[in-house]
Amino acid sequence: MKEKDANSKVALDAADVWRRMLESRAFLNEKAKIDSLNASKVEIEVPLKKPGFLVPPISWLIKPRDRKTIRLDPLGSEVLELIRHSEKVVDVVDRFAERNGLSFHESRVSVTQYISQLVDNGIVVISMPKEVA
Amino acid sequence: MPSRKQPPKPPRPKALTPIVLNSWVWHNISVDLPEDWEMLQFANDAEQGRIAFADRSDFRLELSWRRVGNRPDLERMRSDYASRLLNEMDHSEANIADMLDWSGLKSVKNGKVSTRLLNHFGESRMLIEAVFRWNDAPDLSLEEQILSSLMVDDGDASAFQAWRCFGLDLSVPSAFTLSDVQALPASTVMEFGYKKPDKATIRAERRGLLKFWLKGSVIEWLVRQLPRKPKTLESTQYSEAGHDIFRIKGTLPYGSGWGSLFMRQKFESVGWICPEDKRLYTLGALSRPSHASLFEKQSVQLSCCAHCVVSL
Repeated sequence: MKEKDANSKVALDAADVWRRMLESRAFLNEKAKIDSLNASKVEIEVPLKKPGFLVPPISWLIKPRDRKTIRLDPLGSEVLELIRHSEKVVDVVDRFAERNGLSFHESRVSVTQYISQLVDNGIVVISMPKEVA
Repeated sequence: MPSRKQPPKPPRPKALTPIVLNSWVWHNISVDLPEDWEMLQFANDAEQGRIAFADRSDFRLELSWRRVGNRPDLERMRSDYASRLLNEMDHSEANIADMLDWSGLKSVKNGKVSTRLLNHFGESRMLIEAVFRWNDAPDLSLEEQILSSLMVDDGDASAFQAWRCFGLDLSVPSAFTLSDVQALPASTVMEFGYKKPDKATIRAERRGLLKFWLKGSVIEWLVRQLPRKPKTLESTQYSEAGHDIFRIKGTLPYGSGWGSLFMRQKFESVGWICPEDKRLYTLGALSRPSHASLFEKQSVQLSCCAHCVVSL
């Protein structure tokens, strides 16, 4: 019985996390430069932050890249396009579900996983609400 | 003109929008739930487990099952549960809330209401607990509708077992047991094994987002899904209720060692794209020749919509 209660608690915590994520807003990194290769493939140039240890004289010898290029697959390109035209993550989820014939939670899991990859790559920034009712 | 005090208006009744219910069947437990409730958590064990359904904003129903010998004292379980909720789990109230033939408790925690109901299904010896979670007042008519639809099939009595979950509507022989479920967004795979898994297996899939990944034909996809390169292969195609069904069958080498020179496995797979939901459905069976009779008499069936049922 205690194990079952623990499972229920995990489920309810998960619901809190997904509600916060859905109410958050996703913005494109202003410094990211988007090049469309074609309608479904997108290439993005993202500026890289200079590592803290690169001070003279090390920085005279080591010249790291100042930008990286990321090529999105068609699915990523579609998510990115929806982010650019939506207010909240929940809008992205709804539109992605509608376009691709997915259920709400199928779309939620796909979109939020993809958004976190875009965040990890510095393409998208997330603004989360403090609390969701 | 004297002002006349208006009597208070009665509360406006909620709009009566008919709720579309979807049927779910998991480990012989069948239940009808609102269309937007999706299964997000599940257990594979037939003897004891839990499934949880959520709508857009929260988990709404948890169903737990446990096979027990005799009918337990449900009233005593309910009172023990009430004291635990109040004393250990910080619920502010826990009141009796029986419904139909279910023993129930309504409890409140942090302003959210839960209804917990227990019932024992004699023929299958299954103790079922249903927990409804509501944001405010419980929807009693929906609870009643759901509980009255909930049934537990005595799996041993019938030759087939039904599964209805994640968009798959599947019937497999009772001799098979569920061995694996992978439920990912737009990709569900269910596998069943017969006693020892190397004797015979059944695999059903439903996959979406085809435009992003399906390159080539359905037949090519079916062949790619085989565990080894086939020794013999024949393919056919036919149409059923507007669905183009592709079927392959043949033999595979058994294993990868010396046995592969002499021993064979039989396989048969069907696949199609449903024009209604644009998803790819596949159903496949793999068996040693000595166990091929397990799949006779159209015992394995998969349905994608109301119009199309495909058998192996």
